[in-house]
Amino acid sequence: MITIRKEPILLVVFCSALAVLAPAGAQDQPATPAIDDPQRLFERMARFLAGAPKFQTTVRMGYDVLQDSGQKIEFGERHRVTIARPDRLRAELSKSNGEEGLVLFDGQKITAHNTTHAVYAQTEKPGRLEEVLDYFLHDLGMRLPLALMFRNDFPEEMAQRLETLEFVEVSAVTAVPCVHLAGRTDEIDFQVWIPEKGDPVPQRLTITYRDEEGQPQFWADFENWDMAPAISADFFAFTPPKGAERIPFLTEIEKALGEETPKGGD
Amino acid sequence: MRTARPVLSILVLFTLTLFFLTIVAEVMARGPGGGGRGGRGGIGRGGPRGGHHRVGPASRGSFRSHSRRPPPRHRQPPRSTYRRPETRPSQPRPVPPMTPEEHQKRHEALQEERQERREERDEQRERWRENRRREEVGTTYYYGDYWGDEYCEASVVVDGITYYECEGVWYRRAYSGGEVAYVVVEGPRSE
Repeated sequence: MITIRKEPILLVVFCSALAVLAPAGAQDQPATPAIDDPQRLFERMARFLAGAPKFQTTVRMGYDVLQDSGQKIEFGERHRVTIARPDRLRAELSKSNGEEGLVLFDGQKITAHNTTHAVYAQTEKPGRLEEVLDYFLHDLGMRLPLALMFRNDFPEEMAQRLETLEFVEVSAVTAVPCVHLAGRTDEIDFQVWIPEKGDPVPQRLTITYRDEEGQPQFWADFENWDMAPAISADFFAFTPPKGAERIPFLTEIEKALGEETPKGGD
Repeated sequence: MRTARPVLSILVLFTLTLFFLTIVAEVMARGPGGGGRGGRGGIGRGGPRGGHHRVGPASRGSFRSHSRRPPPRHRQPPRSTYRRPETRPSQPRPVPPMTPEEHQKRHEALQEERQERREERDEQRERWRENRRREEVGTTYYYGDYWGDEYCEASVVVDGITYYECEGVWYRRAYSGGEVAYVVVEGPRSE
């Protein structure tokens, strides 16, 4: 007759049950302060970016475009963005249709270059990053997704706009465990994923334009954050490639026409 | 050996038919204009390439919903202002027989009438184009992607600016919303 001692078996079963149940129990407890205070984590992220003297990141992004048929189609882009405060920016752009381009602020001039069409536009605009971005987006009618995040006043701007901000979960499927927050302003809904540990640089962001027809969404995945990129002296300078044609910004044509019209009288 | 000959004939006939059908399909796919219009560096204005719009509220990736700029105005293909006369089912009327001279006269009159109508239509279209061109200078533009298969050649380079002519309307390139757009401008010859 073989006799089996029950104590070791019971011990193994107990330990296994403990191992399985322990994380479940831990989920009930606040795993991170963000659960109680998502605002604080979000502000930390915004202040970290705004306070960085320079940084570089690659952003893979996609956005829905509502078609005449009512179907939403997603297009994608990849931007490698480099910021050097107070007034330098370089964004290397690749679009899903194969088009490539560049946006440069060198402290004195704004340059937009489309390598695919071999054209570039340039205008004088000295100033701090937020002034130049304002001019670029609103006066020149240009586009630079997530421009707000590159501004020195990103924390203050978001503080003004935020209506609600909630903790969703700690996401385990991102490259590093991230705190997933969901916020609303009076115009958009957004979600952001911020690492639980280490530099609070966003890993992912989505924006839903809830008042727009079809409620299209924009998403961005941030990769390769570098808070101390090696930048050469001519990194923000633009030398037109041979054969590139200089073209105006459309707003410059419109402005010239606006000035011409009263003189003509018709 | 005798049985191989009909099989061979059928195979040859089948191959020739397939070849002919391929050519017909190719010609039909190219359309009535043929396949040689898409010169490099040219622009065209059919639908968006790939059939889909690329620009919308979400493409700006902004933390705001509404842009300060109005949405771009894309020109619709010209529609004829010529109204078709209403057609009513008519009762068949007896037609008296015509002499060859009468037949010739009637034919000439019809030709003349057709020619007048054609000229009038051309004139109308030209007036319409001219008005549109005046209205649209600097205010109407297409994004690069909205230029489709019908190409307009890069026509003139003046002072380093490339002008494109498309059915009597002149365009040049400009940056709008981060895209290269084709803007209606005064042509270089109108100066």
